[in-house]
Amino acid sequence: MRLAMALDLRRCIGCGTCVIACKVNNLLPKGVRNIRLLDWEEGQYPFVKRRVLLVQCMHCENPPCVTVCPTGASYIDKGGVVRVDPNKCTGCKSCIMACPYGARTLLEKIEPYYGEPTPYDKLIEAKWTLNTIIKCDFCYDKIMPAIDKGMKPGVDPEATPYCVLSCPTNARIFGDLDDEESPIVQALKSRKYMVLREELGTQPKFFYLL
Amino acid sequence: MVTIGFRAQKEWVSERPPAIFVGTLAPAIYIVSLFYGIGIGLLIAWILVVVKLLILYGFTANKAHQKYVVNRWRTSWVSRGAAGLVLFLLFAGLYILGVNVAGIKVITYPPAIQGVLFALSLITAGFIMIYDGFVQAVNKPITFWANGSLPIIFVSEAAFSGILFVDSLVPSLISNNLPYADIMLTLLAYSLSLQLWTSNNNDVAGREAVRKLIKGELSGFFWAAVTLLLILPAILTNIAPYYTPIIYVDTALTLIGMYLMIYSIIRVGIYKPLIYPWSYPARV
Repeated sequence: MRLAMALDLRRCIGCGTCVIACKVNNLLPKGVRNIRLLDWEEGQYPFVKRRVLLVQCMHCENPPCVTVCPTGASYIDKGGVVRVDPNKCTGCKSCIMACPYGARTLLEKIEPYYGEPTPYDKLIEAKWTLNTIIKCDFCYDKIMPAIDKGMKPGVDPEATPYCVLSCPTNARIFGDLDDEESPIVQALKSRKYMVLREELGTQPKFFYLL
Repeated sequence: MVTIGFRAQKEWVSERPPAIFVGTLAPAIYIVSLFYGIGIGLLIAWILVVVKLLILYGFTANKAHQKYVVNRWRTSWVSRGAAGLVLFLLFAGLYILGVNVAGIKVITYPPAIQGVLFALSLITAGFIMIYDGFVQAVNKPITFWANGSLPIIFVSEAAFSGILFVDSLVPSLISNNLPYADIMLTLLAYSLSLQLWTSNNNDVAGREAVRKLIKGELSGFFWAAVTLLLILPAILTNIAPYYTPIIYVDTALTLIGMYLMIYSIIRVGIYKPLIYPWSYPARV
């Protein structure tokens, strides 16, 4: 099983719903985002176009973050998902430096979002370990039990990450690259696609459908 | 063509330069001192490696997990380096105990053991001298660092500074060491030129890094480094190579220049923009 994701650039409107869905459902602390929304303008007034691009962990098949990790805290888990073991991470930031996509964040402090800690802030504090790396893991703790029960990634909601479920335009597609019937394999067969920084040989498993 | 700006590498910017400075200078001093049997040089080098280890330990945020570093020596240059530092401290420490340092000799080893410790400390010193360059060069997304010349720059500047440092400890060695210092200076000049040329011709991030160094915001540091590390030592050592006060000035300038060079190289690490030069069709 090789879990992968695709973003349909014709459908993505850059609304940022996936960013928020990821943040809320994964209890991401203040200042941490696993999905970055790049937003820029092209051209000269009045002929300008707005461009958006979502960037997150590409779950590379040859991840540079894993090979630089001095403790083995960054590793490839089941389904090819690149994860971080907070019990081993020293917070040395080598992986941040090695990642071409800027997909990792060191959790240096946990602050309440608005002044006094809310119950939500307390959940965040209980979940994360300070001075360790936070990154996208395709909502591993949510999807993997469902996949183990036989549900299909990208088809059954329980086996699909929150960002995919929340997308209002269905721009995100998730699935197993080793399953011919998987939605992502179908999408990659029917459309042109690209990956970012292909020349580095990282073999990302996050595809952009053109 | 579309670019939404270069992303600067911001991690380790303040901690890495001193770590690389002491981490490459110390083994150079050690190796030169080892061949001439200069006990005080060996001790200074050993202390500098301890400083390097403390810097590395200091900037890892989660110190309780440091013990896992030893498990990863097969894949990570960071862990290989940490293991090398510890082994160096062990072998060099044992060797120094058997050497006369300022009139004190703690242990007298049998010649065979002395020889083995000599070889092991030499090998580990050589290893920690080169590994910093590799730690930087494996960062493929940062074009300026992912360059084969970078480890050579670090090694040659450290070797040159190390030779001068030992010369300033024992000025009578100047005449012996001058040809080696010249070789290292030439190697440094060559590898630095190669680094700039290849980076400039590699991709947009490499070109931007070279621009920053040559005429951008880091040009002050870079040209100061070139002047202090390359130009002035070359002039001074040719004017009066055997005049002792010159060697002190030369060593001081070189050490400052070496630090500035490392600082410039670390600060100039930038990533290629993710969407350059690609622009997808706007059909939303």
